[in-house]
Amino acid sequence: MGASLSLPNRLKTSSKQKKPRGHFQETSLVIAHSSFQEKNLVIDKLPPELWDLIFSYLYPSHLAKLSQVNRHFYHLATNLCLWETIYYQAFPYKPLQLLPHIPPLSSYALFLAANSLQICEQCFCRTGTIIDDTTTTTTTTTDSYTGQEPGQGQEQGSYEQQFLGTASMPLPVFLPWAKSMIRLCLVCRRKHFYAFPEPIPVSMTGKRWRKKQIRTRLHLRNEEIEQLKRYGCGPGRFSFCAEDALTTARIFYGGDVGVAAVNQSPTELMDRSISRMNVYQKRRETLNACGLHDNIASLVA
Amino acid sequence: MKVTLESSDGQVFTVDKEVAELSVIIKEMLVIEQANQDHPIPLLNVGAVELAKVIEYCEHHRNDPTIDDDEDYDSRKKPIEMDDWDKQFTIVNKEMMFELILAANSMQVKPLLHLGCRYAADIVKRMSPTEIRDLFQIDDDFTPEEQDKIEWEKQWTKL
Repeated sequence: MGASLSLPNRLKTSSKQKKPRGHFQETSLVIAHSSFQEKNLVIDKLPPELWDLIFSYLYPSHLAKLSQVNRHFYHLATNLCLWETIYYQAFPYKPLQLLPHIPPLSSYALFLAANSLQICEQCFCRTGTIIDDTTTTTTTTTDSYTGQEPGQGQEQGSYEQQFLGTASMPLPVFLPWAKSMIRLCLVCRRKHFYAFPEPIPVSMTGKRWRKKQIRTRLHLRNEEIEQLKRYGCGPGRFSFCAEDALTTARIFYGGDVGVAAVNQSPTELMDRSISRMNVYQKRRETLNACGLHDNIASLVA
Repeated sequence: MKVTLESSDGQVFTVDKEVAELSVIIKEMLVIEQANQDHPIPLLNVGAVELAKVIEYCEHHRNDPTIDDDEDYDSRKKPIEMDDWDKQFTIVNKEMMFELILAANSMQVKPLLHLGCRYAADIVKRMSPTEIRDLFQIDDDFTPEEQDKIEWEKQWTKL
């Protein structure tokens, strides 16, 4: 009897406890720590500066992952000076129009999340055209420091972009010490694979390839193929060492990911970037539209 | 020369002076209190278990050259180099590691602090958000609307 009575009682108390907590969160979301005060946890004991130190060992994508854990982490991970640093590295001379009602450093974090496809997580440099963050001016303005019409940049591209396609963009590479895939730009990928060369697949060891094979499989151009060690096979015909060709292609395009990406046009990646930017703009509009009070309730600050 | 240290729960440890001086706080204290070194130095924020571990670390690293660390964001670029001893040392449970970070922070043992933070970062980076919640025993307290908002911030993690 006693047990059957205590069960509804317990349910009652738990629902009672929940209610004020939810109410509390609605009113003061900015103080994300509040919901933890009941428990004595490790994360509460660590002061913010120690979290900053821990975060300094993490890549932006790790931080983005951490921000999904809960409000406390969201607050910690989006309010880092790192975001401002990355922003000015990626968009020099272009001050960011901060989002209203949220911490300034979070604005940088959100803007960068929208542009993450174009930003190298190692050197924080940006590849590809700038997508203007104001819809109304996209068609009219010209980028002051690239001198290109924003929309046209993708087709024209730089010398490198024309030949490299998507390989010129930051591509995900597995970094052993980061223990995850990290988006690296061409330069960083070259450096990385120089230090940590990829193994030559068994199927290619000791093989000789014809020029056409190299061109189709590894996307090397004639200039590079000419420099490979050649073996004669019949009058005026040559074959090349497949391993050498692979190594050259890997250096040129920044690893196997690069080689695989050569034929794709960067436009596809840029389109994804643009669609992300649109989401960002929508969010900014809603932020601008609603007053401060509504915002605090509707935003994770 | 020996120095005595007292943990928050009253346990007393005697260590060599140069070992204790790896802690910036103790080093400064020793300079100030040069005259009376008979009574132990109280470490109010450090428990006995953590202090023993910190001393163990300092004993092993007593001869290390001091590194002046400009806290730079370069730290993430470097592959982690830990010697075997450090690796053995970091095989403790995660709670303990965070306690150690706190102890190292309050005693200002820079190399240990960095080792600890690197270790903590290492744990966190290979975990999914759910696993991190389990690790710290915390709940997902985002409201559904907030879930929608952060949905697109996952973009950094989408490849």
